[in-house]
Amino acid sequence: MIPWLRAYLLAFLSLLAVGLPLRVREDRPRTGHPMSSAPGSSPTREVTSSLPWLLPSATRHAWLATPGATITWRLNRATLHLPTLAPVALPRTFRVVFVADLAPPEYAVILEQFIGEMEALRPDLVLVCGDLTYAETEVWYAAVAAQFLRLERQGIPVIVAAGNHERKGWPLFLRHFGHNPTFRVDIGPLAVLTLDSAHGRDQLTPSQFAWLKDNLNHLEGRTPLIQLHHPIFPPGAALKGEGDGSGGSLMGFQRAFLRLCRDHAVPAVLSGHWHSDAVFDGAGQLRDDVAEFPGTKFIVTTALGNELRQVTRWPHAYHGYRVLDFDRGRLVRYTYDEAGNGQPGPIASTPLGLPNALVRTAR
Amino acid sequence: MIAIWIFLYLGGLCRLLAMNGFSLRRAVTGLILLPILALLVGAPVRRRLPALFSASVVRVTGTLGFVALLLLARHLHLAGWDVREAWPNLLAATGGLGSLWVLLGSAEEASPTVGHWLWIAFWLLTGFLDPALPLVGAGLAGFLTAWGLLPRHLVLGGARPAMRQISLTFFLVGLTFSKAGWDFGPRPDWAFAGAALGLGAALAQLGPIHRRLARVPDWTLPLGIGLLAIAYVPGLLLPWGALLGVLVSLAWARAPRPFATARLGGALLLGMVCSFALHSNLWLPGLRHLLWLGN
Repeated sequence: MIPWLRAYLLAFLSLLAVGLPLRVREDRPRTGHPMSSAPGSSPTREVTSSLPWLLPSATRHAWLATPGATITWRLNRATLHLPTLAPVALPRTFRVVFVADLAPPEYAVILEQFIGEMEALRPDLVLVCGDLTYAETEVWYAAVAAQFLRLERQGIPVIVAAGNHERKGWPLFLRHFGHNPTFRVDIGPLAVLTLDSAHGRDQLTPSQFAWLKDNLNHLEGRTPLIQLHHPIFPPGAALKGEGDGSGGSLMGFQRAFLRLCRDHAVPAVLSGHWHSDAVFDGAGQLRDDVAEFPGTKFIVTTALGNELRQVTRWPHAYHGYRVLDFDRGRLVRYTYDEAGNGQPGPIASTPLGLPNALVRTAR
Repeated sequence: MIAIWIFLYLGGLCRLLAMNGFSLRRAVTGLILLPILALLVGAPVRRRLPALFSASVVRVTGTLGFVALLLLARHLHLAGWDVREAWPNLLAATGGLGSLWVLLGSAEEASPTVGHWLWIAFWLLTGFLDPALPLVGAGLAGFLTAWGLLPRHLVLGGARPAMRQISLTFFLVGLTFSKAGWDFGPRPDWAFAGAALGLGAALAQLGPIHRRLARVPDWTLPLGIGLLAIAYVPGLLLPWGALLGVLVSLAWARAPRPFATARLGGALLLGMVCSFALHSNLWLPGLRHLLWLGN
């Protein structure tokens, strides 16, 4: 018995040697990972401490000084539960900009242009859905994070999802955008559910699927909006171009995912990855006929700044992003009015360059 | 010690590399492979050059390995591992080789005891705090063994002959052991499955239970472990891990003695690599239905 007691004593000393001085990693809020801010939601601050059940004194004092807040622990994961936000009336409209497959360093000017356009457009939320950098360098990751921070400082929250290219520089992604790529943010009328489909192995795994199911069962009246890097459907009969590689789609739990979307009336699932626009209905049919159809819209959005591709028969290819407008929590517009006749056409995303029609509706 | 090294160092290293990425395009990442290579070729080296594994040398390497893994865990703690950096790779290689040196220098005649399996459970649980910490458990065990401070393994169940399907069984252990890690990804909950495995294995070593389990036929072990590779449900993580632990413990008790480090360690490593490859290729027809229940 004594030898084992001695061994465990040394084990605890080893844990102290690794964990001291006491320090924390901020998991939320941080760039690309904001706190919930919707009326009636319960925002949380989350940190991971270097030792279980211990916080550095500065963090502990700041947290304990927050009126009405409580702290919960899972070993070394500490969560500060802030008081539930008062249920005030929301503005009628809510605008989300969705973007994916950003620019490699040599096209930094495109990212700069996008950020400038967002400053002009002033959406309520920007979703960035993976393949952020295409270069696994600390300098470029820091530069991209700084651009998102620029928006956040102007009151435009940014929510970042991981893409397949993030796996090539995974420690850099984690360092700049947080160690939990599956998370929920309640904002405006929405519950934004960010998934990690892109680790090059299982895409959705059982535990991640269980997490999604649990969150969809606890929406508390909010409209769910899901973002994940991989499109849910393959191009299928609409294939024209790259069916493999960049034309890849969700493999893990695809059918169960579709059932969840149907059962919980998810208005839209947002993806990138194809560097090409596409919209599918719940049966996996490319909807290049109309923008409005019943059920969930499975929306794939073109690349913001990397090479453009053709994956389906949809012929238009340009760099851009997608603007989604919600009216009292209902998705009312997600395509770009190319013709300018007030009737949004199918599929098209908004071309980079902030069209005049959008400038007029900017806040 | 071999069970500790395999589950804590080898399992921990594979998980860290699978999570953080690994590429042989940079020479510096090759350092990480040195302990794995040593696992496969170390035994003949020991037979030919026993002086390299004398008590005094083993004490030096054991201490060095422990310190290196402690420094590695400090370096990676709360941050993650960029395998393009030379320093953590060097620490991982030194730590792995140092602790493996101890392993090769101490004859493995018997099965791990309850205490050894509880040690594995404890350190796999620390993986919740940070995925690099289980490696420290291997390093510390190496240090303690080198200095004669860790209790020796015990011979259990007399001189039972080794089971015939032992390589296959260890391969399946590797295939199944990493399952929870692939499921949870960067989320730390996989560590609970590891802790449950250690606890289940420890439980199976307790006197009356051990006597009952000794009657379990050999063929049920690969079958049971193989079925657990398919019947994985995150909602039943703890019982799943504990059951796997029971089967792993039985398999370990039926391994040849002295323990065939290269053959069985290699089979387990191959299982982990195959597990990674299989879970990376869900596009193969039928595979995704087989690998994840309900998919």
